[in-house]
Amino acid sequence: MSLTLKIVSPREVIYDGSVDFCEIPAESGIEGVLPGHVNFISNVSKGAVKYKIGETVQEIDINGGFVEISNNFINILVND
Amino acid sequence: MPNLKSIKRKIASIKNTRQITKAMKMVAGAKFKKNQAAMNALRPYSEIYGGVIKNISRNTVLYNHPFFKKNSGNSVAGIIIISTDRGLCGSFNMNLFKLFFEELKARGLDGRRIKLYILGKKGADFFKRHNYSVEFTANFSENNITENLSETLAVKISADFINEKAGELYIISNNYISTLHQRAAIEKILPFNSSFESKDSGGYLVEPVSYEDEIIDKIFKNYIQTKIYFKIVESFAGEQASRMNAMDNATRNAGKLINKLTIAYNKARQAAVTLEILDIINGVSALK
Repeated sequence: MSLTLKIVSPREVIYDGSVDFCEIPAESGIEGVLPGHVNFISNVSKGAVKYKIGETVQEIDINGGFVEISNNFINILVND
Repeated sequence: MPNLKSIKRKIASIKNTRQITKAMKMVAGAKFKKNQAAMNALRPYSEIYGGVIKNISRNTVLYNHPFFKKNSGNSVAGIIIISTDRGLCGSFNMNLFKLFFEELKARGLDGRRIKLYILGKKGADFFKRHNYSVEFTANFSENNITENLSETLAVKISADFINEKAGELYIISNNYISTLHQRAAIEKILPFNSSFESKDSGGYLVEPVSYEDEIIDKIFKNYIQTKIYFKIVESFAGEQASRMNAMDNATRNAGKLINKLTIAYNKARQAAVTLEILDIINGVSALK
């Protein structure tokens, strides 16, 4: 079971794919997400989204926005 | 016999028109590429945002938000119509107006119990001509930044909905299907559809907890703005595509007309030549 991570801004799709683990710079602290995470909504601060596929970790810098997590889908909507 | 000179003049004038429609087609084509790129860039954001809202609205926790409230007693319907500023784009605007009247009839709405929010000069002119009171109008050419315009409108309709000035809100605009095809469509934006399915009713953890209502509120309000913004961008792309087609047809029709008139001209000229030859031959034979 893995997570589907989507990061979009009004200008482009920044990331769309499945990941094993994801770290989101939520407003009240960095939020680590593994499969089976509770449904979750939060503001996202400017910062880096880290995600792990297998053992490789990658990072994407994003502006603020918000995140919605449900049923192993992570949707991060980034402001312009 | 048709006058040779008048046919020639007509041909010249149609050639000019053809030149113009050809140029307009090129211009529309260039603008279309730009607008289409903007639309394609925004589409995933808008679609994923829509999916998120759908996910959220399946959860019972949030149904207290005013956007879910059904104002069943309020029969005033708010309708947003996204038209264009400029004409010469085929039936692009007419399709919207036609759909508007059809919907009025289908939903049994009274023309006086609706609130109209019109974007684009053509729509504003049309509804003024038909004596509708219009709640809100805006031209695109005077509001260069479409994003701000959609924000203004989103704030206004949200306020009207929450203050129960309108019980339901719809948006009528042209959906972009392909370059050759745009379809006028109506979509309900408020209230949100709430379908509470038990499997997803686990609720959401909203953080920071101290102001979770504001977060949800902001997400919903931004969604309305995004939706309107996307519809406008989509309509822009459709408008230019429609204009491109209209101008392409006009150019082709002008070409056909020129061909027809050229044949008529040649026939008339031939007739004149034949007559002249007959005259000369008659003259010669009279001398013999």
